[in-house]
Amino acid sequence: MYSNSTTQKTEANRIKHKKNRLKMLKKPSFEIVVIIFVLLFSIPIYLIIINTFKTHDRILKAPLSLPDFSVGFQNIVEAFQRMDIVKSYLVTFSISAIALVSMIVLSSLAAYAIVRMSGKIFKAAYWVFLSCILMPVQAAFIPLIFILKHFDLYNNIFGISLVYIAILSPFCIFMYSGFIRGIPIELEEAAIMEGCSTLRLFFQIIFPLLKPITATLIIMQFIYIWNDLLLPLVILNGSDYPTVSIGLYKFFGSKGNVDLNLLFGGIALVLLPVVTVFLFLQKYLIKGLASGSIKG
Amino acid sequence: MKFMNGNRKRYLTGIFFIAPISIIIFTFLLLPILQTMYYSFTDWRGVGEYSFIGLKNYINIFNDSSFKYSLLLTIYVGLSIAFLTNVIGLTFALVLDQALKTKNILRTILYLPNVIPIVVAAFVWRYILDYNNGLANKFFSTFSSESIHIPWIDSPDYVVPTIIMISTWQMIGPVMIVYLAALQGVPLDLIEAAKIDGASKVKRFLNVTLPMIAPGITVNILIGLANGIRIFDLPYALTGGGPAGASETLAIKIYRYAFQSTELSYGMAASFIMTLVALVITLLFVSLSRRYERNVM
Amino acid sequence: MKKSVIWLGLLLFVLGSLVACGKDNDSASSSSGDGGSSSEPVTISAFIAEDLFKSADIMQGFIDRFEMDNPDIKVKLETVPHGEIYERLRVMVSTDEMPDIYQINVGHSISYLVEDAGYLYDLNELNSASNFSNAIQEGTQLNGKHAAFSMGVGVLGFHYNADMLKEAGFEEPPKTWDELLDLGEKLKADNKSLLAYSGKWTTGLINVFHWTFGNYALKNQEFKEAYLSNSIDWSKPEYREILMDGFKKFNELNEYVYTGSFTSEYGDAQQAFVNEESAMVMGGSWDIGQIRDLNPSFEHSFMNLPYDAETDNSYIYTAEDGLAINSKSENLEAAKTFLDWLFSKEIYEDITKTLANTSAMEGVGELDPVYVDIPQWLETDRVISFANTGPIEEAVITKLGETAQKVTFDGDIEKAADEFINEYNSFKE
Repeated sequence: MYSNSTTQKTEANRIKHKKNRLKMLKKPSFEIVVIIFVLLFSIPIYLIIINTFKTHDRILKAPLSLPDFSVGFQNIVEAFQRMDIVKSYLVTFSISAIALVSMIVLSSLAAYAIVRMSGKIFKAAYWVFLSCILMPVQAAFIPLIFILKHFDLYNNIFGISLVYIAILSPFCIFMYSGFIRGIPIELEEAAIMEGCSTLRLFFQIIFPLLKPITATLIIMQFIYIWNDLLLPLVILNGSDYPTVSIGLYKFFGSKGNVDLNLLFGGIALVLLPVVTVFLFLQKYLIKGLASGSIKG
Repeated sequence: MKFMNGNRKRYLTGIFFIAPISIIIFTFLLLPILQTMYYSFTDWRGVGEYSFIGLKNYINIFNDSSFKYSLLLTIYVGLSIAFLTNVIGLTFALVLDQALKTKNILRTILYLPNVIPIVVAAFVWRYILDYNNGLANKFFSTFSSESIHIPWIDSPDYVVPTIIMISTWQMIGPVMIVYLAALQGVPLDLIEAAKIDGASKVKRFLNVTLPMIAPGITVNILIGLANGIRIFDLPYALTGGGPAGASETLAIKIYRYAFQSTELSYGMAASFIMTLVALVITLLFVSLSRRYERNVM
Repeated sequence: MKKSVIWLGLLLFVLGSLVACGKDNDSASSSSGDGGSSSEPVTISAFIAEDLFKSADIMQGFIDRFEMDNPDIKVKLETVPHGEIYERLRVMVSTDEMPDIYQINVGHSISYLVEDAGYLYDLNELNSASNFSNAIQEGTQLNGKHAAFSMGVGVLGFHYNADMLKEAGFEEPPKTWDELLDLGEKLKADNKSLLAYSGKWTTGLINVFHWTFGNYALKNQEFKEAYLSNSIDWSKPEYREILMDGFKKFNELNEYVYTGSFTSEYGDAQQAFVNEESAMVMGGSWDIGQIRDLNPSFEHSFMNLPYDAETDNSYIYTAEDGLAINSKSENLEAAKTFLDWLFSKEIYEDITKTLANTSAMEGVGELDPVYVDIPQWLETDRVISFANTGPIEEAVITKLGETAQKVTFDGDIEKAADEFINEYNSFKE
């Protein structure tokens, strides 16, 4: 996770270059235009934030008005109690952790083999994984549950994680293989000459170069799992394993009536961990990606 | 001889690398889908006995004019979302790749729509797009002497563009991030060199930057297609597939057949058709883009 | 080095959670395994939508009371979001994971699937079955079984704003279709809407067709039987005529309907009604609690849809969602004990009070003044009880709503009828 001095230097160089290159754009007016655009873009998010601090009635009658803050954090507190949030966090985090860790390790390994090994089987594997990316799974739930029950994985955190791995890793493999292809093979050849095992070579040389892409994938797939409704609904028993998304959707009541204050309070609770993860991983998204430049 | 051994060992290691994920994908994704395919030729309702009915489900599906509509709608939505997210996402990425003071916070804000559960986002968008009291119509009315009522989601003509717009809004974040990552890989020396050669800004972008970020484009178009073709939550929560079925995508149709009727096998047949469509699009697109990447790199 | 520490931490976390859930599973399975013995408490599972009892907390409150009275029975409650209840139930039926007690609606096609798979228990075996009024006992029959204990009853109809009607010159609510359209015209001149449908979901939009089919079923026994067995032969000209009439009237009504009604939620429709943007809101006699919560500032009441002349017009009567017992349950006796307790007159009265439901038991609970006419309606011989989707697949009913809306946008009734009939025939028995 720490870039060595070479990449730091490249990074410094890059910024210097860039500063020269973009001098003409470094006007504050340009930045202000960008900020205005982004703010317009985030009006729905603004609506969510202001409605977190209103009563049900106020949200219903005047969803666009500013809150008077009379409810304070009451909505969030109430949603906290109703959603069984501690257990939900734990369950959803466990699923995400198992699925993400295995997904990242297994699909990067597979992508490496696909790109670097010669043999028909690897080429075929690439196309098979690729065709799995867009598979619609809804109609396959019932056969899927039969399979899970066969392995005694129904209503089990490990079972649902395996399903997530199966659904999400084809895309990871695709993305990883694209980026591994851009890594010059010379780096590995030296290691092979020294008699380094392929597994060690992968984890010591290749995987660190994939940091930014890994961060991107973790963010994307974490959000997918965190917000997913259908899989936990059909695979897990909600009283044994409540998940965050199902807890939130419970506020949508019959005939489209919604406990609005609870819903908006709940959104805050759902968003908090995801935004934290995003902020934490954000620096890895860009930094160190200078490593990609070795391609040229 | 030793070299041969090494090669063989490498080959086996490779098999060892792809085996675990292949087993998981086969067991928990491909196998259920293959079973779905099998049942689509039966009259299985999800309970009890079933018998083979050949292509009857498929014939019924293709006799349904609204299924053809959903099929075309899904392809249209998929392509539009792929196109729009890429154009806008790349623009944002290019802008936020500049030395802006606020770029980190702006990136986070742009990513936020993707973090919000889609059902909640749809709920909030209703406040904006409501025909009678929505923010958007109120906003446009201030520019006009009479009040303006645009049926954003209440007319079959408007609802599809509206859904494409919201979905694009929702998908910009990930697409932008991938482009930002890809842009870091563009060697500045090349750009400098092109500058010295006197290439214009547009030319530099087209001839230097664009080919270098080609893998990012491939990934991003696939992200757009994946979200567009499988789109379900957004139209379902926003309009329930209406009005008059105008926003009923394939995924919604499959859901209706598989979960809201007892004719499970019918839904499975519809699902198999969608699988085929998705397959053709993915394979066609990726083989094309890989050819392009190979040409430019 | 640091990186491996992080990975290790993650893995430990993963292992920890695995161990934790492994334990959970063991205890759960052992307790349900011992279900048969009488010395240890029996655990029965109950599966409902979060909002069946308004919220899971209220249901849990009743469960706690039950467990105090019956220390040898434990009830394990699972709730899901309202919109997913039948989807989940559908998966449960197919994968043999049915809970001991579950929520169904007799008017929903999933109930027929539950019955086909042999999970539907005849509640007539329970003492409290006789607490329900005769009409409800009949209305909750499926294949001759008392399928579910209904939470309440309802009659479809319109809540109307009496003040707005008066302003438009209607002292009394319209009695004929033409009067209704006339009222719509007058309101439209004043930039108001006649009515808002009860939301975009399947059963919200096609409600008008309940009178289409219901009124005809009053006259034609053969049609009624065909409707209830999902085997209508639409090639018969007179049947097709009825369907076309439905499309035509739905289309005429849409002239005066609140824009946004095709895509909005029920709550939005009620809000438009309370805001006096729409003079009526479609719905039923289960809505009053929600409407009163919105504090309408005007005189309001409840009416039937004047689809046909009074003497030909039916009253659409329906049981609400209710609770059923899994006949394959290992703890059948315990499940019976629980439902018997829950639907004893004493407890049921508490439930109706808490939920502001219209009671399904005679002499239990109170009727909201808005609904004073309803008992008279139910005494006529024009009561039809096939609201909701009935024996027709939800997907087909949805199609009816879609094709009917299409007429509003393109005016082609013939095409719409053909499209619906085609879909109906694909799913016909």
